[in-house]
Amino acid sequence: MAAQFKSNVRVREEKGFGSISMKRLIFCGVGAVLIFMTLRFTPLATIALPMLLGVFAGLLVLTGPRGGLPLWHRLMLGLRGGLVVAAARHPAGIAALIARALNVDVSVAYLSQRQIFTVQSSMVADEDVNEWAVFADLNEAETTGGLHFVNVMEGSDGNTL
Amino acid sequence: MGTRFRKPDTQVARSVLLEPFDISLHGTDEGLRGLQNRFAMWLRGFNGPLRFVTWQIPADLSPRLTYIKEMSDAAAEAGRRELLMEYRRHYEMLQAEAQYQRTMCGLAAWTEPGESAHSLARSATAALDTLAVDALWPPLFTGEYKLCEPGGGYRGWHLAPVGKPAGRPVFALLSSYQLQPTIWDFQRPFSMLIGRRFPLAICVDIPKTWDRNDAINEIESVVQAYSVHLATMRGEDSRSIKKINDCRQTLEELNLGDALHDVQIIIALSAPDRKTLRERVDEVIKLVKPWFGLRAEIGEAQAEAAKFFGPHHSRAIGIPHTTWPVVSRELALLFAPLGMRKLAGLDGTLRGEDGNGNYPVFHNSWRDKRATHEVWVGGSGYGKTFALNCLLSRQYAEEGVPFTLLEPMGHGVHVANAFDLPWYVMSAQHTCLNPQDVMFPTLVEQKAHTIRLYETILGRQLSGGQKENQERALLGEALEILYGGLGELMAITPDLAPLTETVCDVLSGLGDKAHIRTIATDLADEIGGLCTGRGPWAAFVNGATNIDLSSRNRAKPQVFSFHEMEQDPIMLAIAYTQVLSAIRRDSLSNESPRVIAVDEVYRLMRHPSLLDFLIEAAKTFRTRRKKLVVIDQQMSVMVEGRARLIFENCPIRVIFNQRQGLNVFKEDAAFQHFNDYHHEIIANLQRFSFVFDVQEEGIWVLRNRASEGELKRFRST
Repeated sequence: MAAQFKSNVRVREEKGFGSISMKRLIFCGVGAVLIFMTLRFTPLATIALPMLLGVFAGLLVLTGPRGGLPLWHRLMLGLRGGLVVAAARHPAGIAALIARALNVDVSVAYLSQRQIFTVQSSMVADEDVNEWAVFADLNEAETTGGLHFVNVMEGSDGNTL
Repeated sequence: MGTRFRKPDTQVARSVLLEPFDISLHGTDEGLRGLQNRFAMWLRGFNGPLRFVTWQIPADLSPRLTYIKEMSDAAAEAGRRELLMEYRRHYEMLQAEAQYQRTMCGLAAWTEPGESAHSLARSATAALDTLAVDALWPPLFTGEYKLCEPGGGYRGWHLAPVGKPAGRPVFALLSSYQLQPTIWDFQRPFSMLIGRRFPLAICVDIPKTWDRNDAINEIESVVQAYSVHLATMRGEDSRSIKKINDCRQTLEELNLGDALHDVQIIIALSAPDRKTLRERVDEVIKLVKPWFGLRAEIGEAQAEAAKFFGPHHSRAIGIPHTTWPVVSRELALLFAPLGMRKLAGLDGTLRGEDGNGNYPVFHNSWRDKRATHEVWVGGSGYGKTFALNCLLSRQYAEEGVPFTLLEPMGHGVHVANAFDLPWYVMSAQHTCLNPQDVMFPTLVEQKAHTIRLYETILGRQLSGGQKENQERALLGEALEILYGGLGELMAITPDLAPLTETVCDVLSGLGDKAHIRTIATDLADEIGGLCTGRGPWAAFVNGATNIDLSSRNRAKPQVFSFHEMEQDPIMLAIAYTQVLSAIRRDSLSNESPRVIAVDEVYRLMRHPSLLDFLIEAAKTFRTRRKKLVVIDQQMSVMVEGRARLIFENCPIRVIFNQRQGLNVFKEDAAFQHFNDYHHEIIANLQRFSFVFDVQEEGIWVLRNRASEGELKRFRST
């Protein structure tokens, strides 16, 4: 009648430092060191060490999870959402231009009951004609490109009417 | 031989709607464990994506009130109009006392194109122990909506109606990102969610069920990695130890046959304004926090998440998929909302309130073209008669379905008075029922019917031996002669029907051989001795029928009481049979619905020849939209011998307290769907409470909450 649910058995979260997992620490560390090494080969070598620390801290902050998502992902979603809403509100504005340039689908800003909750077959017609699919509903076959047999009437000259 | 690979894209969404049931009817630990195992077994068998959705909306009795008003306006009789107004007041009172919600559950599976939704519905019905029908899901919202940025009193992204709201709410969609390692059961956490008094929808999305070997490999690799981590680590890492234990337990469960499923829970909340939406979102997040974490979807994901409540494959929904792996026995508990029944449809007749008084239960047994018979059982004094009177009253007033009540206690007077009807009292002293009254359209059937009545009077069968067969033939011949002389059979009215003494006269003159003549004379003497002259039943069966059994008043209810003849079982059986025969005869001529309630049906069933008649009548009634309600004290009476044929024609079982006859429910195959908790309920039902068991629809424990008018009218019953 009851079950003790388990932790996420598919995800590795080995202990790192405090509440930060080892995986995240390694990612931030590697990222910071890459920046540090890159800067060492540039005229900005003098600020490489502070950048190492800064980037490490910055990456730690950006990968900080909340609601199951890292901060950078949440920020991205927010920015993208803002762009979509602005583009939808002003289809001729800058936001719409940027959205088009970034190939962002603006239509998602509006939802229609008919589009979202009406049954739409997600089926794609099988390209391999050797594989026969049997449809439970004729409409599905027609809307998804399925083949069906029809009666063909011929005219007196032999052409199809 | 070519191998056919299933492409994910070739899967098609099939949706069904599920009727929620009352999980409290599986109230024991054993019962709930059984339910969990059953769900888990079913879920193991799925390999495609699956989605389970529960919608909860506030509901009220307004549609019912409107319907009652319409019926009242259309009713021709003043008495019925008064009754309808009284019921309207009753529903208004119920509505004022409670805040109802309605829940609805749906299931979608992505299957091969050849598999129909009907097969999914069949499989769900069998596995989930509730009614499933292939149907489209209801929309989460109506009209056009737009994605909105935080603001206006709500700090998250949300969906708002486009144009004038016209009562349409704003929506927020929340997704789970973490299922907490704690104890879940069929109550927690969903009962708290479903208990909220605002509209919400819960989606349990199962985008992937792992192949067992892949799942085991995946988890074993995690165990291996953690083992290395722990081996190289100094100090304590309790989370890693817990993770290894969880992985090992999961592996054990997978090796016992469970499947591994990826799961995500999506909750849609609505509110009339953004400020209320904020309060509701905060409330729900806080409420479920001990069990799972919820995040309000951001940006486009907010709009995309609405697609979970439609037939869209999870892959086609653009939200961050923060699924959580669970084994089948855990996933089974996420179907808990299915066991939280609320106010269902308002169509049909009010059958009672659920045991806790939370919501009224209506049931429409006239949906099918055929009527659905009912069997009612229960000990004396537990409210059968009162409930029956209420049911007849409601069906007549609200559905316009007239009734015929046959009852042996004299309570019929209350029903007759309530509806201003003539009260037909069958009396050993004053009533005469002619066995030769024409009740069947053909001579063969009519002869068989009359012979059955004589068998009952004689107390023996006119078949089975040489002499008995000859007696049957002679009696049939006498009847044939008499009916033949009166022209068309159905034109023979009660005043023209041959009398019993005439039958004896004709019978005594039959036979072309001496020994046959002797048999005919002996039979005529036997019948004559009992039914004519000073015979014990002479006044009752030798004369023209003096009670109106004609079809003139068939549009009106009829009440027949048998309390003045209950000391004589044979007279009682004949009276029941003749009345039922008259109803059966009239049934053949029309298909208008009618309820025929027979109280203390055992009095009829103990006569073998009349039992055959009742079995046949039950079938005829069913096809002619006449609902038979057979009532007695013990279920054992209904399931033994040939009486079972009637029982099996009754898909609705109404069970009042049966403490004395509980063994039937434990042993009989017809009640295998009852568990120990059901038995306990049946043994301990209070007065006016009953189990309402509708085949293939569900089981309810109800209490007959009568209206004030019903109490006033039927209190003394």
